[in-house]
Amino acid sequence: MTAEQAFDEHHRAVYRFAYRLLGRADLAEDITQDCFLSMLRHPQRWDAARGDMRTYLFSVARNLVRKRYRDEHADSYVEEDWAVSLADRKADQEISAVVAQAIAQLPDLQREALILFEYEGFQLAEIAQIVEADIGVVKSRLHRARQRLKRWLAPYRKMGAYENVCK
Amino acid sequence: MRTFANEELNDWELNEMLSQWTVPEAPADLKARVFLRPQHTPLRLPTFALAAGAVPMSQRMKSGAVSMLIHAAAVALLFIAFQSKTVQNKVKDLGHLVYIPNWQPKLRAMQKAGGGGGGGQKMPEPVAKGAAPKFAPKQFMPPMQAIPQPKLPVAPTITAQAPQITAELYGDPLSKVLGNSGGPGTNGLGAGSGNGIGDGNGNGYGPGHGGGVGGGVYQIGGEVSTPVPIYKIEPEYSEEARKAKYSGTVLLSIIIDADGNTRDIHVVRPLGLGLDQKAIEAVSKWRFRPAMRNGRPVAVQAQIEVSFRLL
Repeated sequence: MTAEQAFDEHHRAVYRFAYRLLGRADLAEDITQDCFLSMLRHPQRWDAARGDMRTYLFSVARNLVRKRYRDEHADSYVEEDWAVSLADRKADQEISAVVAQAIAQLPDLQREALILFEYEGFQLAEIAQIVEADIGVVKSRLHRARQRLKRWLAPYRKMGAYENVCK
Repeated sequence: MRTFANEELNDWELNEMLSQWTVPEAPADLKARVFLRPQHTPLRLPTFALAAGAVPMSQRMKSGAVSMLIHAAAVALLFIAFQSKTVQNKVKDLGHLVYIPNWQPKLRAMQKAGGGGGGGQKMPEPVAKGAAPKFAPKQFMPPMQAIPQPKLPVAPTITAQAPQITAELYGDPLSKVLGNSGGPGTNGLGAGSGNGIGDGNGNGYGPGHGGGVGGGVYQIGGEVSTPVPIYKIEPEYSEEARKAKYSGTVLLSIIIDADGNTRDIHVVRPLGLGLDQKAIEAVSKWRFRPAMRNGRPVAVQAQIEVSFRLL
């Protein structure tokens, strides 16, 4: 597979992944660009025996996101049990924004595991390879993330289009 | 903090909600940015490798001695050459040839600014008497004696003392002041510091910050995303409230600026016993991932509930 073929096949997914993690289009573009530039500069780093190209690219993108986050928020941290929420959430706000905000409030490791599993369709073993953790750890992060979201999103189940689904 | 309802979504409901989160597509020009950049060449140059390992000490000393000899010979040659009368005379001659006098023009202070020069239309006679064109700060059309019929007529002008520009036609529609004043502020009309009209600090119109009519920061919702807290400090309990075993919730109104910092914190629903102040102190140190509008961070107004509970 040539670099261009890899780009055509995977750049949309990498961009989506970066966007969901960082919440900003400009940063997601930078990450996607840097991810594929890294692949072009160091083609030897991808070892087909260890995983497919998609897993490798997501692993690079994930590291770039974490580096960007560290650079920008060197003096901050995200607590494990984050429970704050903005009180002025408007009732007519789109469900998409509500879900985005809830996921953004998850701890970083849980958030990336959830996004990889729910939105990019990776298997647990692949996620474990991307985030460099054991499968059991990934499973636990995923479970905790889902439990939190179940609690946090419960008040919004009757919002917007979702109202019709729940009836 | 505000707590959500006790009930939880089931797996199916959660999956349904998660599927509602849509994100924009990657821009079409990303490929060009990756593949048309010159970074295809490796950024790191290959490490320079010595072909024959370390140079032995004896060889290094020999090289040093040869180098010293060559330098000494060169210096001696120059010394001997300059002893020669012929060379000295030649150098003197060269010195005269390349001599540059230390000349600087004397600058005279202008007593009064003068006018510009005239043009002409390549006619043999001097210019005839006539009325001077109007003065203007910028010239679009030079003065001509015979003006051809233009499609878009522009009166000829000369650039000279510009007429006074008054703001009598522009002002703040909200103002009750009559007369002719631009207001005490800078850059716009009014008392603010932006390029707009009114007492605000932005490019809009009205009191407040930011753009748009009415000024003010943006409100969350629609195109403006919600800021996400990334750093928080738990508020401390005040001594009075602890003794009184007092608990409750303070509602604060804050502005989260484009850098994610909080400012303009006001108590909307007070709790008392010093807890309001404690809540303000804590929230003033919180940091947010700022609200985004069209991909750019913007300042937004938000309300935050800070709960005080004694265990």
